[in-house]
Amino acid sequence: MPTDLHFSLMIPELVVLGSAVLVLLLDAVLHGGGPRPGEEDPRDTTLALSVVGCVVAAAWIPAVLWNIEGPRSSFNGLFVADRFSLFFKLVVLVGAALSLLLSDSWLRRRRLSSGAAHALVLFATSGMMYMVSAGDMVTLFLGLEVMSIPVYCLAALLRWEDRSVEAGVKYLVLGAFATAIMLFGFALLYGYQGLVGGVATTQLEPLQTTLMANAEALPLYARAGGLLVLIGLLFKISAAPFHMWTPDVYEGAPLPFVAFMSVAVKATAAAVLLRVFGGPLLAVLGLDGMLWVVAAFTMVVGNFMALVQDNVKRMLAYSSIAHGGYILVGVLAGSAEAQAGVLYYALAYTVGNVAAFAVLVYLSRQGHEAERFSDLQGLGARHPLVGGVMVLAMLSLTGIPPLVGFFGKFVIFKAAVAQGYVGLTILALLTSAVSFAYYLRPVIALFMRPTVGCEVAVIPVNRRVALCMGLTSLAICALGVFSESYLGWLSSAVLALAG
Amino acid sequence: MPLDHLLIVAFVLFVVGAAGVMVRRNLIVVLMSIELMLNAVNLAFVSFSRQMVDHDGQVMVLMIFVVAAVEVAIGMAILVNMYRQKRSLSVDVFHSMRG
Repeated sequence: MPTDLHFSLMIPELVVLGSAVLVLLLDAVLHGGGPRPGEEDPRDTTLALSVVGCVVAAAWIPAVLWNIEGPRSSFNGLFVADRFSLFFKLVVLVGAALSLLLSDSWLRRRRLSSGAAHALVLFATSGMMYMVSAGDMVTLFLGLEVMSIPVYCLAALLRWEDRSVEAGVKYLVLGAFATAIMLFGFALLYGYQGLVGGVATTQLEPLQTTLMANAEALPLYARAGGLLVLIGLLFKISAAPFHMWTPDVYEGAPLPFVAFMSVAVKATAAAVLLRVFGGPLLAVLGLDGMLWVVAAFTMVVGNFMALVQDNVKRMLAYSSIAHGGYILVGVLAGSAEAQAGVLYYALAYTVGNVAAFAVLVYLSRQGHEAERFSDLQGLGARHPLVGGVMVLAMLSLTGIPPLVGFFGKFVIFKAAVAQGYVGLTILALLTSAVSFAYYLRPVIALFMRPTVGCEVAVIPVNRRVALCMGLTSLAICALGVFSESYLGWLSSAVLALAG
Repeated sequence: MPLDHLLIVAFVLFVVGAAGVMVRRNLIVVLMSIELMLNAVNLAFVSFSRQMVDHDGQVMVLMIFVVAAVEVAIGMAILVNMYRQKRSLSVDVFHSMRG
């Protein structure tokens, strides 16, 4: 058996994993509970190490791996470092680094040890990076679990708080349930590949080839396998009707880590959906009709349920469900343009959503979390710049040109129409219009309502959160304005389509 | 043993586990049901693997063993915290958030 072990292809993953381990060790050595008088705060060290780990890994991708010569797959096809996966790794790393910046002040205010939380974020990030690079069921499954298990812990991080533990339990039970469903699908597909394809293997590519070659006469168990895998992935991307856990988890989990979960887990799930079901495979398995219904249902449920929330975190949870629906439209369309659209959308959603969460983190203070719309009242007048970031984030999430969110939707919808999904696109446009109503609510609360009570809110300047807000705002504007060249760059990252 | 019989057992185990997740109220039993589903998956993988004389499926089973153990460890840790707060492990005590 030939072996090809190109460890150089997974340098970003190894950097992230290494910094996670170092952060854990440092946290133990430097007693991360808090600073002793006269000593440097150990939390600065772990934060710096985690962010540097993410930045180095992210910088390595465009600097070295993007244009690498030679083989892009390694470990006998277990690990694929094509541009598609590299782009999603960038998105995940950006999300992780920004959430780490956000989490710092939030954790400090609650006197929490930050090392463990930072290490969990890094471990989850490495899992996501392996998952988007998976060329095999084994890598896919292990990546999924390395991603999910730290995220369950992050959801339950505030172990003395009712809601946080509840979020952890719900996420764990439903996440494990979804994984079991997906694994049974994999077992059936593995059997199909061995019995029909002739070569028994857990690799994805031979399986896809076999499925495409026998498109006319697929046995029931192969279709069932595809269906189960799809359901497992739809749980992860929180598509309706598999979305029940999302609002509760987002409401209960710690604010900065909700930002991480919502953007990074969703981007990863979208990448895996595209890799496993890319191109005509959905139609071959007879799942395109089901995905049509799921996408439509997801957009309707997400957007309309978001209208009636009075908690900003829950509103953003439903909005994240809705954005999952738009991503599914792109997955369903499946063409190269649609894939480029999904890639674009993943980053657009990441920067928009992280900006919104950054504002919430900034406006939260001791004993006063910015959770409900009423908590935001009147703060825009006092902090116009912070309010401005929220306006920008909301406009981008709604899809107002020339911000990045608009072009994400535009590219996906255009590709969907080109593939003949006109009805679904009209529904997507209508629900987008609805989304304007709830994205306006935080803006109205910030700028057009008087402050509650006579208490004067003095919010100290927080440099790290401000940096995060600045970077995301810049990205929202810049990626939108330069969308042409950015899209051109992305089109080199789409997957080659089977068939 | 023919492949069909093994797969039928795996399928029945899987359905029993899935039903357990949805019907049972105690979270420990829910976690046990998830384990049952994972064991059904393992059975399916090894049966196919034996039928086709291939090792890939068995490697997958080993991975699933490890991950299942990790999941239980994390699950128990979270459930202990839940019990400390609520003095109950039933899903019925979840109402601090609208379901």
